[in-house]
Amino acid sequence: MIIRTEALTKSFRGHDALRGVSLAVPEGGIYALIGPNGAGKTTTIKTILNIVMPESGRVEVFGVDSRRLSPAEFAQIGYVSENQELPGRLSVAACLAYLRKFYSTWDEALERQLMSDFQLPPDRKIHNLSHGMRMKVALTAALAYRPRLLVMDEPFSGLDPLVRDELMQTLLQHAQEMTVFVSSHDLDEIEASTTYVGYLEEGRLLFQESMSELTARAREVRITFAAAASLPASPPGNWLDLTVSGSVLSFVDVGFSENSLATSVHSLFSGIRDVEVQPVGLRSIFTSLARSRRNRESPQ
Amino acid sequence: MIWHILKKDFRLLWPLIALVAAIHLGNAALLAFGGQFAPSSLASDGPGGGLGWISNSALPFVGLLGLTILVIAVFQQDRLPGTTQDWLTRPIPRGKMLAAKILLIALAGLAPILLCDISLGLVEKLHPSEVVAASLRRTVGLACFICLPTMMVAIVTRSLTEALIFSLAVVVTVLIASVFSEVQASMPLLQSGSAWTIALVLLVANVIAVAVMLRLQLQWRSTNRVRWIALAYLCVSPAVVMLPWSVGYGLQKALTPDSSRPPGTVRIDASRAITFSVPGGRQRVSNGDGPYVSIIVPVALPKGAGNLRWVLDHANAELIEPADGNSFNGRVGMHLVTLIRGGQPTLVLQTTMLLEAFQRARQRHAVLRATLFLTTLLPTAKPMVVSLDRGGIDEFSRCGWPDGNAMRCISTRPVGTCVAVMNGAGRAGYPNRSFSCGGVSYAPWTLPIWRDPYYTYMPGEQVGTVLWTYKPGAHFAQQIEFTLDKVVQESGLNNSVDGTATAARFANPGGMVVDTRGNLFVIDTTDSVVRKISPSGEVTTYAGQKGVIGTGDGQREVAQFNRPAAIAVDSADNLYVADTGNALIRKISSSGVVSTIAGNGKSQGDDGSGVRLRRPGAIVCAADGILYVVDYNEDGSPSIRKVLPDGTVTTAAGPETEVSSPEGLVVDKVGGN
Repeated sequence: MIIRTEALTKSFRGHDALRGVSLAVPEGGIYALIGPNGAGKTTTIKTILNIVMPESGRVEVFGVDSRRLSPAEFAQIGYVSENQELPGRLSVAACLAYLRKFYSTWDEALERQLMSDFQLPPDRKIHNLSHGMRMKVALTAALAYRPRLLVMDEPFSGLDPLVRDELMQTLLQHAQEMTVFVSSHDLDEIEASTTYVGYLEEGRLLFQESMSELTARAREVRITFAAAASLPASPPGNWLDLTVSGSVLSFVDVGFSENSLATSVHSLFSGIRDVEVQPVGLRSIFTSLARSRRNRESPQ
Repeated sequence: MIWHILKKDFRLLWPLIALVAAIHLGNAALLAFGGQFAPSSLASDGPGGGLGWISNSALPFVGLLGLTILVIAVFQQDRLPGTTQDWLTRPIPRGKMLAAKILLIALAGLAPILLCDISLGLVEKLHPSEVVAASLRRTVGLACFICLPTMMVAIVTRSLTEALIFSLAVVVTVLIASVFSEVQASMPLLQSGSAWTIALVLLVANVIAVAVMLRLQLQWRSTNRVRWIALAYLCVSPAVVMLPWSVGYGLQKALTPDSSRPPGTVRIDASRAITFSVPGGRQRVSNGDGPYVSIIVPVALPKGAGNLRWVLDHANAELIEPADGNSFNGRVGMHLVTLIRGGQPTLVLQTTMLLEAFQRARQRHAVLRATLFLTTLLPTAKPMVVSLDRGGIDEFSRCGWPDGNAMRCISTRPVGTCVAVMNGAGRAGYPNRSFSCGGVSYAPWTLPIWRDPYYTYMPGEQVGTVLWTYKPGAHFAQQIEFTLDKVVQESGLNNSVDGTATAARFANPGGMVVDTRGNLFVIDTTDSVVRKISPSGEVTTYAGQKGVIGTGDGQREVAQFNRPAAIAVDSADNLYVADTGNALIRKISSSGVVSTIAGNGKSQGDDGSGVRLRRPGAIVCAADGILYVVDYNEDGSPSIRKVLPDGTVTTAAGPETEVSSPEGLVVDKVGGN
């Protein structure tokens, strides 16, 4: 595992931001840490990078305790964040020149290529750039030394679709060379290339697994009844986000298997006219999880 | 890598760096080309008028403000508080980044100041090595006492505005604390010769505090905790001026290399003569507490002078008036303050005696020249050791301080200077007095601490530190070491406590005397007892009962006194106590029996006039056994009483004599004269 956390906890002014988060990020591929706002994604990333100290638990990056990460390890880590503060009074070129000295693996050709691809103005001071351009500089400054691990914290937040697409394309071009650990609630762009996913909510990691396993076990189910549909009194736990619309009951089954679904449906309902089962996207899984959790907390 | 980080910061901050350096360079140029000590270009309130406030106050203040802003800006380029800075995830060793910041401050902030100071000293044609030493001292002082505290602010704030608010919070807190506490009354160390230890303690504390805060910030990312620590430290650290005197002296004793030097070794390597002319220096006349003149004289002080308290040994002035050929020659009484100003070691002389000559010099364009002999108080005092030498104390008491009533010696230095705290009554005219011993003249001078030296002191009031110097090789002073009045006061208990050397305490020591065996007997006025300090330093209560007032005679342990003031000894080691509160003269025989020999009307004068003692003070025993006592009449006028061995009291002098306020008595070898 390139990143491993064990029972991480962290609180800010009495609010528990992390409540025993245990992550395992395998080397290679793209690991997406998803979750609603305030779930603890940024705190998890900052703890991994030793920017904030956990109250308890342990983080290992490359097998090294994060509290002992040395410049040698940081030289293999790229970091891009929506809130990242680059030295704003430096020009783009001066900033990259400053950072270049700290990395023995810095690839100037790649830097030039990225500058060209992103159409970055070398002489403009960073604080005069738009948010999108600053994110491009940050990604350039993170990719140019070909890191072994690229950590991205909400990198696409607040970007227009064009810039988002540019960043995504560039990221995907280089993703094969490295492990990408990305937190986002913007799931459409990363879904196609995500290999692992972890779902964080209210400081707890509800699940983490490979994307193929997740999509294999998650299905959107629509049951059409002859008469008006109604919610079952006690649905199975893996049925999320149950909604009734006329004679149709729909939900997301995150523990899907044909046999178990058929058994549960026939034991709970009668008068079924049709059962439709469809693959479901990451966004649907994410929203179903979030919505069902919210409904559990406020049942009315 | 350090250089790489430094270059980045320099690239971002060069306008500020250039501005701060320009301020310092501009001020240096102003001082150099205008004449650093020329009245026309300096001292706005001086005779020259002019724009002196620019180079004296405004530019140095702005320059130092610029330095603090620079320190904050350098650190905030890669600020420590927060979690969004890019550098946090870069392979930048934090130690090297810190080193780069410190190096930039040294090179861009402090080096220009150092260069200015050195240049100014060289322009004044001072000795280069001394100029460099003095300038380096100031630079180190700025680094430790300006840059380090500013660093503490810089590492817990994100912007200049935050730093300003934080600093204001510190200043306001300190001001409020100082207003509501009697700080002024709690700074004995600041007023002593060991005051340099305050700076040392603060320096060490600053370094430790910055190290702790940096560690917490860099390693533990605890900005909030560090903010509170920094706020608390910056608010509390000024209280270091209230450090107990004994702590400061203990430090001085431990850190001074000369402390192991055997007694008797004489070294006055810091004495020197200085010649200056008026006009030519900066002058300022004030009519505040009384007319005096200050003359600021540039002096290159020797290495290590920053740690030393300088005193004026003596000074001679000569006024040359070419117009009429008149001249003024005289000894000038001055006190002296050492300043390190703009990297320039500077002495400030203040005197009233020179005022007239000075004003004449100004009016008639005459030249006043004075030659000053300076002596330094080397930090080698050993006042904690009570090591009495008969010749020492005896000679000492005969050198103008016959009964010790007005003197408490807190330290002596076997190198040429002695510091004493005066605790006597009467006028403090000490600067005008000199005394001789063994054919060598000694001149006492005061360092006014709480009061002007010409202030009239109330009985028992603390006067200040009195300094007197003696020539190298003077035998007595090399071995005189006394108890510590300062420590006694510092205890705040005002109780006498027996014990060894420093463990002992005195409530309010009065007169003292030494017997033939080398025992020092000290009157402890407040507790109405006679204390004994053995040659080994053991302090015991010799006669009287602590705090018990009475007239009872008998064995010394049960006898009682009433606020005695002075003590004398005869050749047979009998002690005579001026028992002031009882208006008696008491005798403590060498075997320890207390008896009343005179006073309270019991004794009749030889003329049958019935002389009564009113308020006996100073007392001395002549070789023929006759006691001479200063006795104050009801109207406060003093008389000198003569007490014969049989107890008969006569009036030897006063009150119609010229004696106005005697502080002590001395007898010569013939006795009775």
